[in-house]
Amino acid sequence: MKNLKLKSARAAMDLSQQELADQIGVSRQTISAIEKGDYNPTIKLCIAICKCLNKTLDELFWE
Amino acid sequence: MDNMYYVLGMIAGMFAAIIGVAVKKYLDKNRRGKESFDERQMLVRLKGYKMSFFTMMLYNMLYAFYDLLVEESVLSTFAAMIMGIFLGALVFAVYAIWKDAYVELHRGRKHFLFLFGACGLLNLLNGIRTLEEEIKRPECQDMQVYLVNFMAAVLFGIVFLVFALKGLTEKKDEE
Repeated sequence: MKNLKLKSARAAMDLSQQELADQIGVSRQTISAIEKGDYNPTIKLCIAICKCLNKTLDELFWE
Repeated sequence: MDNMYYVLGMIAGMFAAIIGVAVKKYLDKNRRGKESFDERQMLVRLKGYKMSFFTMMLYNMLYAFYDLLVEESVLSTFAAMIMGIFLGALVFAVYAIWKDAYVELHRGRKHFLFLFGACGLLNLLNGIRTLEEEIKRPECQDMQVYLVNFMAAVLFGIVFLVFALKGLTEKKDEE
């Protein structure tokens, strides 16, 4: 299932997928896969994404 | 006697490659703690290793049956075994490249393109040269070493093409 919340949170911060990936320390394709719903990140990665985008886990990853 | 030199040369080459990788790993020790692949890439690579392993198992099983059934094989045992290894490596490489898990984080793909293209071309040229030599010296023909070079050329060629194709699809995927 697509993660549109993540995509919109990233867009709100004016970050590209590559920029977000660089800040977190993952590949751009991983961010793309998470947004498309092709990959379910670990809790560690979810927390890192939330910290980077100043959001909570619920706001980004809760359905 | 000449076959022995081929085998010794290959063993020496393998040892040189192992030592080279060990030295590189030792020199890269400063990178410990910095992840070379992210979690998604590691999962993809693990799946790739599994696919590669079972491909080799299946190939070896099929070759074993082929060897039992056929009296005079087209391929030498040497060439057939190497083909199995190449096949396994190809499966892993193609899967990892297509799923964006072959190249480490913060590394460009251009030098891989150059590397694989160069390796493919060199193996092709060496294969032609070895074939010419083996034709002149029939006593060296039983190992079919030229086939190994041609197989390596095909392997690197396919990997090069997959890399290039993936690079084109990446450009469309990027925002």
